[in-house]
Amino acid sequence: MNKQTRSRRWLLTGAMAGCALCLSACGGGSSTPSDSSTNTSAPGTSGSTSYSIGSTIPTFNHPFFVAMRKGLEEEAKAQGATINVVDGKNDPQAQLSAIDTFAVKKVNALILCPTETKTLVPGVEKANQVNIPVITVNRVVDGGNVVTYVGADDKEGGKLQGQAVLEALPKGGKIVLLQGIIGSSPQRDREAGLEEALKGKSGYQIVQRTPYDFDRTKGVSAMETVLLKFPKGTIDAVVAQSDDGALAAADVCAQKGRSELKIIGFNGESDAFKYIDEGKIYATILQDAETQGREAVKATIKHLKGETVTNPQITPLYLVNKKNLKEHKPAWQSTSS
Amino acid sequence: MSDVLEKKPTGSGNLVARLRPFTGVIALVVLCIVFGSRERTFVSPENFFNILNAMAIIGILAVGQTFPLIGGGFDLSQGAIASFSGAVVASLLSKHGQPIPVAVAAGLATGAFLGGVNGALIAKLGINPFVATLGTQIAFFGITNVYTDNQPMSLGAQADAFRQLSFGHVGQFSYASLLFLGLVVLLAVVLRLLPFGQYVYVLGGNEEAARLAGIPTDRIKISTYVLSGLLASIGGLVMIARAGQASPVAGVGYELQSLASCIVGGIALGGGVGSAWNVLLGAVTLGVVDVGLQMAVNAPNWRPVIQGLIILLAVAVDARARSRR
Repeated sequence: MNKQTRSRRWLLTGAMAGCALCLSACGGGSSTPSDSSTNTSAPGTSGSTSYSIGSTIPTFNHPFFVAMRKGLEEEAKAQGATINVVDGKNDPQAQLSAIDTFAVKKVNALILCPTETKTLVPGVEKANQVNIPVITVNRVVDGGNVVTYVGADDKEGGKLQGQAVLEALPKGGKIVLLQGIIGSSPQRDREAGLEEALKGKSGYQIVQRTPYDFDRTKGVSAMETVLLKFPKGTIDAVVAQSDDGALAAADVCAQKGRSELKIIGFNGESDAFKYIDEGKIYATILQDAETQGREAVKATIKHLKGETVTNPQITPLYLVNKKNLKEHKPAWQSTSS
Repeated sequence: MSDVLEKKPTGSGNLVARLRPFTGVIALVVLCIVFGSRERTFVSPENFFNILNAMAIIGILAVGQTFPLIGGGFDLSQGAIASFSGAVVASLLSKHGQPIPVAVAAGLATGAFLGGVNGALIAKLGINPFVATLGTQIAFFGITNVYTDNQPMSLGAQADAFRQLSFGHVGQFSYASLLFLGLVVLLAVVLRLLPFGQYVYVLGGNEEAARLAGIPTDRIKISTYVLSGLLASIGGLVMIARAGQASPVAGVGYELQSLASCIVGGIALGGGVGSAWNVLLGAVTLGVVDVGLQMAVNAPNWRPVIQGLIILLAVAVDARARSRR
């Protein structure tokens, strides 16, 4: 590459930058099919316009969030709105970037399921700054102005898990806690709920906490390590913050002959239902991700139409064990069943 | 004199030959037109600065990645170094109450040191860069987990001041994007004007020849990895400023993105070629693709597929252009 080419390139960069700025100056606010709403989110603007919603969720790869996304996209379609869901890739930076992009795109509203409670606060504040209403779904953020939170009460869910422990071990026992992604609100709040349910109950003790990031494969290795550390008779129950952990724990226990352990999960996927039926898992807490997605979209459109929206909107959780298994439907079909 | 020796292409071939060095830019313009036609706001000035800001962290890492790449290797541990450096800075700010300059200096020193570890493994022990930096990636992430006890670490009382690195603006340019652009200019200066830059090219082009010519190849090689680590730690500073905390799971996969930026921009994996311009072009291209797909393609499942195809196309076109030169 010679000097001529080099200087031409830098010249070209400058020209491109200039073009970019010029293009935008002569551009108007004309809408294209993929950006069908030019309204701002001012309440009271009703009727013929369709709303454009931006959304970002922690990951596309977990069946829980596949179900949530289904709820988000189907409800939006049913209501005549467009929704653009961006994969958070479990990276708060990616979600912050997506929110910045939504701000440039001037979406009418943002539905956010944050990867982390604190890190996404600047994202919410950015949306507040540009007057884009924010609705959080399934997980909370620790700050900023949010129109409403649609989702389960994770702390309540943790307490239900505690209740299951008290039922499973009437005489007390030692518990291992398998934790989800550290710093996410489900991890934080479910753990707090569990501790509260066991507070003051002598004879019950959490002896080990290990993260497995809501990932089934990591759950397997986490559980294998737990069993090495705690031989038979030293622990009595395993509480996992999602069914991935509970299923992983159940599989490892079956392999290593530790089926005496009582295992409790969270979410209510069909594999968990199957294991409860077979006695491999003691109980799980059922929450419906797809409904949460739908309700979030419904609340968003209500708000955009200028109607009042209750905050928060807590979706129900159910403690599912062998006794009431038949009364409930799994939250989603696990891939293996 | 080289003009006389070169065969001048004739006729229509002339235009194609003249355009060849600019395939990257042309591709970028085409992408912008495509995305802009589907989504009007894509070509707004606000989006220009949005894209620059969005890819600033990877861009900073890519500037660092250039050194090992031109020298014939690469650094897979950048994400981990960024993460651990961020944790060091956060811990000094919050737990040890150090002033910001001290914490930042420690973070940068950490990055340079870890880069030195990479360099030593590769240059002195002769371990190939893939194995060496993959190993250090795992080790450094592990150390970050131990250091932070698996919990995110806050930035302490001076969080607001420190976070200006992420929130601050000069005009519409965020500090992070200005930092990236400044580092690109610095990279150009080092590669073109300093003897060190020339040595790196020779090292990557033909290591034996470099050694025979009396160039201290080991020292140069180690330096390339030190610089890669140093720049990774600068990226780490921006990461914790943006997140408001240091997290043991931050930075996963960032080294692959920084590698992709360099290669899409035209830096060869084999070494010996590359420039600051390549880094700028590559990082901006990836930023355009990422943001463009988010804005203009409303089938989220297809985004990674299209992204991969564009990257492959960019590399393939560049490879063909290179082989014809």
